[in-house]
This record gives sequence, C-alpha cells and structure tokens, in this order.
Amino acid sequence: MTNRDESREPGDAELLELARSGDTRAVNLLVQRHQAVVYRFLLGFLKDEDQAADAAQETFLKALDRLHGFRGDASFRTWLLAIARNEALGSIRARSRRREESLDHTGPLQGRTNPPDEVAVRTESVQRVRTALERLPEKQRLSVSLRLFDGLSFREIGEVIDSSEGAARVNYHYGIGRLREWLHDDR
Amino acid sequence: MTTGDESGILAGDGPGAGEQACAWTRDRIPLRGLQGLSRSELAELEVHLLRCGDCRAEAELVETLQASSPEPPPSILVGVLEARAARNDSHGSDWRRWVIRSAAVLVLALGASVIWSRDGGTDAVWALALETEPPAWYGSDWVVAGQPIPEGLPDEVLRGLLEEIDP
Repeated sequence: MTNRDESREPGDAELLELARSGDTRAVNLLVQRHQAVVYRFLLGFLKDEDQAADAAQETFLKALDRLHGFRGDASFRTWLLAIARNEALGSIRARSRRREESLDHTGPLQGRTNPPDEVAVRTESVQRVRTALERLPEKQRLSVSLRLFDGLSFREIGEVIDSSEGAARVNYHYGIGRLREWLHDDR
Repeated sequence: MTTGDESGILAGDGPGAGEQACAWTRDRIPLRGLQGLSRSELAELEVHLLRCGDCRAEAELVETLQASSPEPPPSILVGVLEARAARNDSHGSDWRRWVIRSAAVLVLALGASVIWSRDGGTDAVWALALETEPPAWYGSDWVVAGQPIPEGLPDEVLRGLLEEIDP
C-alpha cells in the first residue's frame, strides 16, 4: 500500500485500484469492510450460518477474480451483493439436488442444519427475533435485513432485490410491521 | 447509507405534515443506530421521537432487531486469504514449470541451429553422431579379451586373435 494519510479511511474506489494492482492489504480491507453485509445477505437467503459463510467466501473469491471487469456503474457493495445473490441461488439449487438424492437414497431429511446446542447458546431474545425474520417473505426479509443491519439506501436495496426504490421501501415497512405483530404476540 | 432530507419536513404542524414526519422518521430510524445520519437529521429525529409514541415504539423495536444482528465469522476473511494464497502458489509453480520447459526447448533449438549453420545441414548432424563415444547398447563384440579392439587391424589378424581366445 502506498504511504498516504493514515488517518483517512480509504474509499472503495481507492482500494479497488490498489487491489487491481495486486495490493494484498487493499484486498484485506475490502473483504473486512464488506464481509458483514455479504454474510448477512446470504444468511437471509440460505438461513444457515455455515452455508452463508462458505457462500460469502466464494462471493469474495469470484469478485476478486473479476475485479478488472468491475466498471463502477453500481457501487462495489451492490455489485458484491449481486454476485452473492447468484452464489446463494446456486447453493439453494445444489441443496435441493442433495435433498432429492437424500430422499431417494437415505430416507427422511434432517429438519435443521444447525446443531441444537449451537442454537441453545444464543440468547432467547436474539433467537426469537431471528426466527421471526426467517418467517418473512424473501423480499421483505432482505429489505429489512439490508436496511436494519447494514443501512443500505432504499435505492440500493431495490437494485439488489430487483425492485424499484419505492417497492424496497414498502417491503421494508411491511416487514417491520409484521415483525412488530409477531414479536408482540410472542410476549 | 442514505442521505437525509434537509428540506425541514418536520417543521410543519398540520396532520399531513405529522404523517409525513412519521414516515420520514421511520425511514431513518435504522440509521440512528448505525451512525448513518447527519447531525441535523439526528436532531430532528430525536425531537420527533420525544413527541410521537408510535415512532418511539418503532425505534425500540428496531433497537431490539438490531441487537440480533448476525456477525460474520472470522473464517470468511481467513478462507479468502488462504484460497488466494494457495492459488497464487499454484500459479507460481505453473509459471516455473513453463519457464523450465521453454528454456529446455530453446537450448535444444539453439544447439541444433549452431550445428546446422557450422557444418551445413544434415551431414553435420551425422558427423556429430559419429564423433561421439560408442553408445551403451553396442554389444560385447567391440571388446576382445576385455580390451577394446585396436583400430586399424586387418580382418585376418582379428580372426587370429579370436581363434586364440576361443579355438
């Protein structure tokens, strides 16, 4: 990395330029900066922590391989999330194929992939919220998650979920409304 | 992060303005906990929350939801770095193999071209072959009584030597 003003956080464009020229520190910073949003986005799709982590890793590897092809029409984050979305759809397809094979050959499916003791470690409240989030329809779940946890603009959410800015806003507010009802009823 | 509306939408007092104010606030409540609002937006939002119970309830819900935010495991960054390092190593050894092979081909080609240009074509190659030591696959006929056959002996002398060894 070149010696610049260390107090200033470098922007994505600056890091991308350095990463393209093979700067490993820039690559690290890009991954560190965006791994949370990519992981949570994938968790919203896949609903499994291990699979979300694996898919996030693949997303970054693919993005870094294609860095020279990124033209900057959208933000780097939106571009990453588009790759993550494809990765998630691929994982879901592979999972359903495995399920079919498993049904064909080994009988009944396991209900949930997370081991029960792992779930038990989480606080009850956090688990309740996550379960409620998982119940939301996909676009509402993704809109709520991207807005609540990562502060994406509605325009950016619209690009990611393939909807308009207005539809993303509506999805978010519907999602919040449902969560309010469900979490209130659970008390 | 979104940028806020700086138009002072919260300043109005009528019911329409109130609904608009609630909509404006609820759009931005998630950004409050993510430090995604400007100072003036945050001030407007906090003032509205003091006045509006419904928006305050939503802010509490959003806080609860944000507290459940799943954090990424460190394995993502580690995995990305390891995979890239492994790939770079593999590319490096591919590159070294390619260089060694290319160098070998180049040396052979240069050697052949030198011989060709010095002695004029295929004759020179044959000459080179004849100048070399007898190859390993020659049979024991080249050796008589453990000694190499002296050069220039006539056939009769050679026959005599063989009879002495094996009458």
